[in-house]
Amino acid sequence: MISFMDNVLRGVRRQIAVVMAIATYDINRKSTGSSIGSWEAIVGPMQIMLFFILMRVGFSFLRGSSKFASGGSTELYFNIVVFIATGFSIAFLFRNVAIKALSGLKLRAPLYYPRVKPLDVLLAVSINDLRALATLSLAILGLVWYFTWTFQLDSPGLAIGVYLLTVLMAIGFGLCIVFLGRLNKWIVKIIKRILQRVIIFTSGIFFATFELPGQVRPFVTWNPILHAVELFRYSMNNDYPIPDISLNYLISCSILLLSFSLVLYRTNESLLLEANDD
Amino acid sequence: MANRSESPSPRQILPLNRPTSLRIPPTLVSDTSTQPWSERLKQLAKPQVLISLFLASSAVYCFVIGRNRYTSVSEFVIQQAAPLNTTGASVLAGAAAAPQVLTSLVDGQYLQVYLASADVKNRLYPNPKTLEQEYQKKLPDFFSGLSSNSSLPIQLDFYRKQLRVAPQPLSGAVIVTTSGFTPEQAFNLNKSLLVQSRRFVNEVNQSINADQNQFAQKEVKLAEQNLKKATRSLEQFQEKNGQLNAQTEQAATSSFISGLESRLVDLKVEEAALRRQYRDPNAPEVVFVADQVRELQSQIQAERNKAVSADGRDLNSLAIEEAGLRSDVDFASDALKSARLAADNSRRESKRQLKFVVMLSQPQLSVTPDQNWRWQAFLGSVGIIVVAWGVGGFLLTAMRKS
Repeated sequence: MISFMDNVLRGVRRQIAVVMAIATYDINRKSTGSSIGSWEAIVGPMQIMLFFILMRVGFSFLRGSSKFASGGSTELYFNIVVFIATGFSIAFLFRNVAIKALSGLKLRAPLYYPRVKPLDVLLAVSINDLRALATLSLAILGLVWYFTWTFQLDSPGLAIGVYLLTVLMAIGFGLCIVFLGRLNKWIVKIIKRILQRVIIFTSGIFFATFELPGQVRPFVTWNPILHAVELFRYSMNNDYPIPDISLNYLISCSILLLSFSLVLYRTNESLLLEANDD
Repeated sequence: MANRSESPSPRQILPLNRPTSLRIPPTLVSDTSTQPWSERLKQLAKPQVLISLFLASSAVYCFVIGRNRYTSVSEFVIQQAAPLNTTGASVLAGAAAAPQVLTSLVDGQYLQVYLASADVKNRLYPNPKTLEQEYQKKLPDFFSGLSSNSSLPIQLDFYRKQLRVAPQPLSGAVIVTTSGFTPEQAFNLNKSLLVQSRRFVNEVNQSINADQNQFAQKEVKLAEQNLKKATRSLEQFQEKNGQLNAQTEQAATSSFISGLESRLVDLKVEEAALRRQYRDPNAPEVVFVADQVRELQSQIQAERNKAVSADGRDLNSLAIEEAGLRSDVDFASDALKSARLAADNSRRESKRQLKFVVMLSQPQLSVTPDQNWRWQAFLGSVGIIVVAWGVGGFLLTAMRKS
């Protein structure tokens, strides 16, 4: 029993080392291709996030000073920058990891080594994205907390749980669409468009679920990323209302997607390796 | 230190090719007691060891040492009586319901601040020692609870951690959650906070209504005084001038003068007719009428002078003065009427706008401890590791590359 556990632990440790090595390799490769080196990973998302914040602030100015003019206000619970940053850090984490799954397997060189599997490459690329987005989000939240002097994180456990569940869901989703992409390249394009537009705009980066009328909510609450975003906000401020949002739904989606993708991967791993020979 | 490094270790002294029966088990060979402390610390200072220690200690505290916490939840809404003119059939019924939610939400937000204030804490625990004794620290949990002789800010901070007041923007309801180390603590605190909430809502309403009513009553008294003053001035004027009404007097004088003038006209006509009838203008009939005309003219002039001159009765000035005094009385009467109406309205509105704390869910005595904090704290420590690994790793790599 002990030797079995020892083997398992040794295997896990070795696999972690492999994934981390690929992640380092990916960072090195990217840093040589950009004038700002490794900072490229956070500069790109930062531009989009700042654009979103400017858009939201602009809309607030246009809406006027009345907080209840459009049926409620998130400003009762969050600074507008924190509100957007929390939504962005979750929704873009999913988007980046899922899109990287599609394009990430272009990173072929590590697959030369027999010990490196396509899943390792995907995990390594996801880890790099997770680190970059976590750094960016923490920096922005830190700045806001520093300037407003209002640090609040009511449920840290829920926050980290939601963050990790989003990562798992993104990896699962990414793996699924990698295999779907093998069927037809148009599917990849359509999925990319869906990811870029539909999922991002229904994931609650700009709005809160409680601001929406009850009749409209079912049109957005199908999206598990919305649940992740809203739960992440709720974990920061437990007064934030989250009608029709469920942690169970998020857990179910994450586990189902990850399990299905792992089954798919286990049975079709050779497909991904065959492509390497092209 | 140098001598120690030069001296051979026990492991080097022992021959490695000795018989199996004499071989000492490896666990005993690496005798840690002879290792210097710095080396042992170096072995412990590895990241994996530190992280494992941190997580293990966090797990031990969260799931073994940490004291049980119990929660009690209650929910209520702050409502005021519906306006009398609002009916279900009205098109604006929905619009009228929205401000009710907003009013309750705003009241809930005031309550959120009020219940967490030092004022309420002092009211619930007038003696700081009571709070310390109720929530005193108990070994082996050395973190949670209040230590003896804690300062007032620390006590207030601790008190605030025991309660959470959350106004709900969708329904206007207010959820009060309290926690304690025993079910009774959480339950009693929740009950006390409900009492304080009722007191706050009633006190605020009653003080506002009392202020409004007091102001309206003051206005009525002022209007009454003004009316009395104006009436007294008019009475004094009338007493002084010996008449009841200068305007009537003026009208009577005018009518009297008009009568005289009419009589004068008649006499003048008669005089003209007599002058035509008699050749001699000094005929007694003519002179008689002419004398009457002259006398009447002087009489009219005298009456006129008497009515308007300052030496006489000066009815014009008196009439103007009286009109002013009468308008003062009228104005004061109207003001009094308005003030009485406003006071009555204020009294009725204050009755109508009285707010009530309507209980939706009473607090219950907790049966099982709340496990939420344990998981939150433990996952929070995992989160610290993940964030430190993620952010620290990224920053270090990026800085190294640049």
